[in-house]
Amino acid sequence: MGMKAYIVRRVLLFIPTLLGVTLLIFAILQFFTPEERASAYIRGTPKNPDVIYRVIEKYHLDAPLHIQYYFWITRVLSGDLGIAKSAGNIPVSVALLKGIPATFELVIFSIPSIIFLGIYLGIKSAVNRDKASDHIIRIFSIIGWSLPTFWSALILISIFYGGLGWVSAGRLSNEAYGVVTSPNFIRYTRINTIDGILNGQLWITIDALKHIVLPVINLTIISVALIVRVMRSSMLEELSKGYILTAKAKGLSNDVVINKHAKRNALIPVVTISGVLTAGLLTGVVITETVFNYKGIGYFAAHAALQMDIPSVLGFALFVGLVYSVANLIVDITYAYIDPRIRVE
Amino acid sequence: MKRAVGLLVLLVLMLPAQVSIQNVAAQEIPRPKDLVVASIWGPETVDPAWCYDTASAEVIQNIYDTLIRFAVNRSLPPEKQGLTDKFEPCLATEWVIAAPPHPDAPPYTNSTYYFKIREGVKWHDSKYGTVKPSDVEYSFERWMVLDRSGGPTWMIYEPLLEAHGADWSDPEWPEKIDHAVESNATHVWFNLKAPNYPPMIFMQILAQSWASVMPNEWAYEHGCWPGEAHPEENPYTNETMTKYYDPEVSPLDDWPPGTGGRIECGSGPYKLAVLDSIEHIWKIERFPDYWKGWPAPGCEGYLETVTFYGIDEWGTRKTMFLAGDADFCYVPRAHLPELVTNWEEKPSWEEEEYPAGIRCFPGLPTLIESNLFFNFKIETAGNKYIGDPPYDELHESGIPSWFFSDVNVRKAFAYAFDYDTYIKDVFLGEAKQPATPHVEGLAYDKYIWDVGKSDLNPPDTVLPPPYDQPLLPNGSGPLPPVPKYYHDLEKAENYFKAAYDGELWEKGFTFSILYNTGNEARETAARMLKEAVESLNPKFHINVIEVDWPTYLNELVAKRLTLFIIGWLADYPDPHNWYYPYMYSEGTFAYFQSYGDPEVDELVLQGVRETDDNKRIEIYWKLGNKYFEDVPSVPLYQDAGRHWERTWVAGWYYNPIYPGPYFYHLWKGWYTPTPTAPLKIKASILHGSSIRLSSEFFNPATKKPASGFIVFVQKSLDNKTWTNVGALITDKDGRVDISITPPLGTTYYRLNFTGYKAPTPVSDELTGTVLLNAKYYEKWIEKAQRNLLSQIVSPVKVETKILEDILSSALSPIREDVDALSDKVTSLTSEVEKLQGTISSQSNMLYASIGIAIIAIIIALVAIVKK
Repeated sequence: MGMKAYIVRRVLLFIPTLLGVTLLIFAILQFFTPEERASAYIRGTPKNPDVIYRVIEKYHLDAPLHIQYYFWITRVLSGDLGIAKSAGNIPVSVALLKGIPATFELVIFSIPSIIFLGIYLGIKSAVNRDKASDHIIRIFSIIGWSLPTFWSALILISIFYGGLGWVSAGRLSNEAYGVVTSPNFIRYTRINTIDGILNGQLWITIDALKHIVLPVINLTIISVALIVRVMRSSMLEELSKGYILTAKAKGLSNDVVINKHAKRNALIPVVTISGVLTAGLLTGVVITETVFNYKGIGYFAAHAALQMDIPSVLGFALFVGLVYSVANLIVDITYAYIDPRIRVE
Repeated sequence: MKRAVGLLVLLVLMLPAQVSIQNVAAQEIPRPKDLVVASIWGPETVDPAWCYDTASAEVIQNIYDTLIRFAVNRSLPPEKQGLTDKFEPCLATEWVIAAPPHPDAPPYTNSTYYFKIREGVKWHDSKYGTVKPSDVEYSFERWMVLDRSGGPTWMIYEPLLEAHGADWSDPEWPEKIDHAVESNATHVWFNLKAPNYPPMIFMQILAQSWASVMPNEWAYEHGCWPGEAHPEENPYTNETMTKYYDPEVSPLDDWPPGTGGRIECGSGPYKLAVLDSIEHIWKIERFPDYWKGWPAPGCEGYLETVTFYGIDEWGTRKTMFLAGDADFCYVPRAHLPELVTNWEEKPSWEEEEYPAGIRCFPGLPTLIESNLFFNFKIETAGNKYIGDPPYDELHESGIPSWFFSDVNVRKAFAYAFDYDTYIKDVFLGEAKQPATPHVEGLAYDKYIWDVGKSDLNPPDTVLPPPYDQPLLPNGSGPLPPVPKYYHDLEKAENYFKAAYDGELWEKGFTFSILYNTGNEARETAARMLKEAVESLNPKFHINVIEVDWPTYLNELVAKRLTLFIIGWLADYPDPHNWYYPYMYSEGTFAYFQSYGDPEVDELVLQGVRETDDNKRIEIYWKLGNKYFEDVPSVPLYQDAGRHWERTWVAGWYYNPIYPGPYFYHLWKGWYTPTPTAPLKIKASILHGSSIRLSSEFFNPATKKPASGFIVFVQKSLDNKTWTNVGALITDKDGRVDISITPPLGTTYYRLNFTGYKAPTPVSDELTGTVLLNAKYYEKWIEKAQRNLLSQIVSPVKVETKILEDILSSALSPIREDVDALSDKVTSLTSEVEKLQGTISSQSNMLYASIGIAIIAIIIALVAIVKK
């Protein structure tokens, strides 16, 4: 089977995967009574006793599981994911499309720094095993990994925003936001760093970059440790193998042995981790988004879950399923590229 | 090299932000025409007929107009300027209330209200021309047709059709809606079916966001009910109306369909620019053609835009506020100590101090009351909160379903709760214990007053007349006070002993109190009650259980809650909106409690069928007393809020029924003195010197003489804070001519300020008086005019120019002495300035060092690793 056929087959597998995820969520939701699920539509004290029953009837909350799923799936198949009550009654699909770019922007700036810094430090740590630099890297990566996300975020904010005033919270400054939301500015991608360039307003891009620096640093601090540790152990394993000894015996320089031979093989587990890490960041950087007021898809999903906003939760589940499926596919394809021994049967 | 370039790029990127912060420090007004609010997010709609939450209403009240608005009395302190029982014209120029039924009204009509509609009011979209009476009629009829589940439509159905929602099983329902609101070329009138419906309530309903007016044609073009403008669509048929009834989402919140686009076409002072419920930002922009003009009458400026940022994280919000990036900020009560700088000294509200440039209005009564409710008939099936069976008799390990039906049990719980400690500990004193559901801020609240333990004489007997309380509008009264419960464990014990003829005391009980997750106030109340009651008898057992809100709601509806704590937020500021849910047998709480009393039901209905204010007051007084006797629930607290703003914002006032500020009445800036030629005399020369001050002050906006204050300010050594050490008040024409000795340490003075002229009573009382004791002065001013006090805490370093002019002549006779002193003072001042500079630069260096150190550590690490 060729690569193309393999990809097509994997893509087709997405459908049962996503259906399975939504069925599972629907099943879990049946643990809640109709009255409990009605709470998504009633924010505070119900003003009339019959309000709750009217909501239950309107949204078929007391219908059997299969009937509710039928209502939902027929809407989904017609391209309608329902209404996001937790996001001000906008369609779930719109909520997802509006939330994803912010998170995506955060991730595309964070992932390179996390991966490249992680690989670099992991190799340095492995090559200098048990030396001072190895210990320092390991200690700092453990500290970064152990830091509560909100704590490191607040420390960064209090120093660089509250103290020095170098950056500020949110995605844009008030002035930039005024321009971005004006009719003259077209939000092609809703990724401000890109839209600024596409609209010929570079200062918007710079403004967006200033606002993204701190959340990216925060995500890097807390995520880089994982890559460092995987890369280090993988590298140590490779360095202990016979072919490395052979390469050294051939008289190859240390740099060549590490970069041309060991590194490439050691990267395979890192690729797996990177795929999962990227998918994880795309679907759940709630705390970083909350503290830096950088509203994205993670923040949306957390709010939806807290408010029992079922259509939004299901829509997000579809998105998560899709992201992980795609991430796994990319990882598998990357395997084949990195290691020629791995080929599709 | 690459590293250096990277670092340089980073620093360049960060530089503009640093400059903006420094600007704030220099006390220029940031964004002089734009206001930024940092708060928590909430709006879900921009459709007035859908809106039933304060966050959405805050947006809507600024973009739409209503027939009438709640009146504002600018001569009162800002906290009291917004009135809830007086109205002023808006789209309606005049009105006749509770008139006999219109000749063409349906036979069931009991009264008709007429409103003359203002001419020439433009819509935000000029394509639709101006507001017509038919648009008003359309807006109300559309509201009744839409009638979304859990929405506000019941409020208009109650007076117009004596119903709480649409009844499509009635074939004449469309016709009833049609006849409920009518219009001609000049007027709109409402035909009320409800007999003797209180005009106060009806007007309060009309003055709020759900009664906003939109153009029929525009609404139709954007997916709404066609209305009279499109007879070809058969708008007044059951089939057409039900098509637009209770949609899943309003077309105005999703236009074009499927995009989630928010649209509006109001006639209010602002237009909606954006409402992004994902990024949690909304923004409104000034509507230049607003019929009332700009600035608003009585205001000295206006705002071009208002941007609202929903920021959940308090630390981020606080940083924005302190940096001057936000003009208004929501400050949770738990974080008050972070902004009240002398919090440790436990200051009174008048003595509180805030960071430079920040102002706070504390003690704002909210129309929210939380109560302890008793369930008279607990559902036992599947109930996990009533201990073990049997559920039809008293025993120590459970309770029967009728446990709370004995009034002695309810009174025992009411006396067991320590209200004062609760309010002091949980609300940091920022709440009050009401006696009844008739809370402060509702209509007639000043006539119905309550007494606590300290006022009872002897205990449980109210004081005899005469009372120092307002007379009723007809000159009768005043009414005796309504008693309320207080903490008294001895009384609680006696009532427990009396309950069920002593059987309860002998056998004991066990049950659970639920509170919803995250609600610390309710949790603490439950735990305090548990401790107090369990301390009375070892056979009394209460469990406190945390559940999430969905479960709480579920158990409430199933009537399985035993004793529950929940709150009520006013729809309109009339006691009917409170006594109905609390005491009417079919009201929200009474229904869930299975509480009902025919006598009470009759009183509640009388209250809403009485147009005479005097009689209504007496009805609600009777209900208040009945509430105390019956104890269906016990009021725990009425929250007091705060408003926090930067001192460069002017014009804010409070109305408890407003969902948020009415931005049309706000602006940025303060009065500044008329500039004169500068004279080079150092401000420090003021130390202890007697001078003659003779000048006249003008309001630069109106160019007319303006009364106000001269405030003497002492600057702190770190150059960051100023303290008011004394003040002088001009006469009402802005003149001052007096010899004064500014207090030692005075380095600057500043003049009047932001938006409020000192009214005549203040000037008459205090003209020419020099008040050099800051605390004494503040207290005096507080008495007379709170709003002025709020202005002078502005930490603005004011021009010294005028004073220098005055000083040049005033000080000449004593110049030699002063010169000698001045030299010493100058040298001392320069040393102080050096110190200030050092402190300032060192603190900047400290921050910079931390930042650079972090970068350096990273670089060093990389370098080490590379080696």
